[in-house]
Amino acid sequence: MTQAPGPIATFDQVTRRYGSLTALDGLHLQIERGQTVALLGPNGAGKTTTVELLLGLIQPDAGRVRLFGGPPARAIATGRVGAMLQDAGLPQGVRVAELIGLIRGLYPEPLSLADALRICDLEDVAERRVERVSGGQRQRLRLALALAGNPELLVLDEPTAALDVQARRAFWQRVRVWVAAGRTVLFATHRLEEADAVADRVIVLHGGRLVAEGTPERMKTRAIGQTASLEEAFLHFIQQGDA
Amino acid sequence: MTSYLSYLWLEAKRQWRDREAILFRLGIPTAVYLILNATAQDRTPSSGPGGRMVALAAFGAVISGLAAGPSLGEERANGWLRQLRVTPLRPSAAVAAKVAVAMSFALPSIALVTAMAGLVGHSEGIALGWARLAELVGLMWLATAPITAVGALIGLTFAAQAAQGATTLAFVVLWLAGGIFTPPASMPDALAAVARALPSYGVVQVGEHVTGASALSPSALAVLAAWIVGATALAALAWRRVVAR
Repeated sequence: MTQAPGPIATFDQVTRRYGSLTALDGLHLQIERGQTVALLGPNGAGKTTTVELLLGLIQPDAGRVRLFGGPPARAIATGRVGAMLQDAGLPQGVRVAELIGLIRGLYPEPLSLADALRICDLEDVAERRVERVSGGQRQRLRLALALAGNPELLVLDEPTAALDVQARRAFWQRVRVWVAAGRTVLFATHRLEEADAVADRVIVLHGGRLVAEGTPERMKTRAIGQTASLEEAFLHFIQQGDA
Repeated sequence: MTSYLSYLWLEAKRQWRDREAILFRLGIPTAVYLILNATAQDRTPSSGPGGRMVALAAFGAVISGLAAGPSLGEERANGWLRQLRVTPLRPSAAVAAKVAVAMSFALPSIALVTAMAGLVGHSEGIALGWARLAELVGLMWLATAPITAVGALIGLTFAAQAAQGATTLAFVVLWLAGGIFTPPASMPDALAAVARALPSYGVVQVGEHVTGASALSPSALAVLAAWIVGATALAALAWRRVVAR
């Protein structure tokens, strides 16, 4: 892996519209190597649009998105990114280990199959068919597919939406283990407690605009001039954004 | 290339594990052939010696060839193709793999009917050696390619349930109006014109050319060529629409 200097991802005045709806409005953003970044915002804030632009799944109407210094498609094609999309389905009739093995085979320096299974706690169902695993196991399999290539950047869009409290905590525990090796994570969420507990940088989106960013601690103090909860800070920034 | 082959291998494994798929694509055409042949009481079909064999082999080719439609539609709808787009795999590889696996079902489907005809087909007047029968299998299989392109086009145009419905409709049209069981010569003129323009009749004509029932007309090859070019071009357009949102 080359450790080129400079940000991993850059959004330069990026706008994206869907018909008359402006999903993202002149977003300017940089993501540095080694950060765990939370993209926080209410539903419709532009989180998924940001993720899809970053991954090259959609194109901006104005502005420019760069990933690893080039167009997103190139970063994807060279295996530098792993992603867990919102509600992405899985093919039927494949075994868990086979599917992870397939994805591993697409990347230049993947995790070993054993590591991918262990990190995501899928060892017991490795030989089971995908359609016969539980909802929680399915979600862990989707994380395993995002991690299997051992990518430099991991992108997660609302990864814990379908999980209960316990499973959610275990999920982030797994991501933390993975991040400890200096890799970069960007995740979209509308759960404040996740942003607070997991991220070392929070970006608040509202109505397609960036309304605040910083460490969770800084955001709490900056919002109202005293230490508040992230929830208070979040509401503060969003109301400001509406004004 | 390696990644395409590993995806193809996975796609082949999952479809060949599906017992229902094997039953429908391989079992039904062979079973129908044996039943028709047994109940026809040694009568040569109106379409000539080997007519039943060619019809049921074409029937198997159509069932197998359209297979890409529903699964492609489903994987587009459930987001699996989107997931593949964020991996280094070229996502069009998923479409190519569906077509290749559809072809992998068409070959044994045609071959099984032909093998049965080789064993019991004397009752419908078949007097072809195994070499000629192998030639029949190979040529009819190649002629199936346009039908697999139609399957891919359906899967890229319609999502999930709609793709299932469109595939069934295409199947019924090719089966009933496509010159498989009713030769165009026995159809009203307008319907016969439609039948002669459908790729299933091209498959039948390629088969009849080998059995000697009729000579292969240039127009039959032109129809097959037009379908493979047309369906592939439309599938490529549909693919661009899938990718560029």
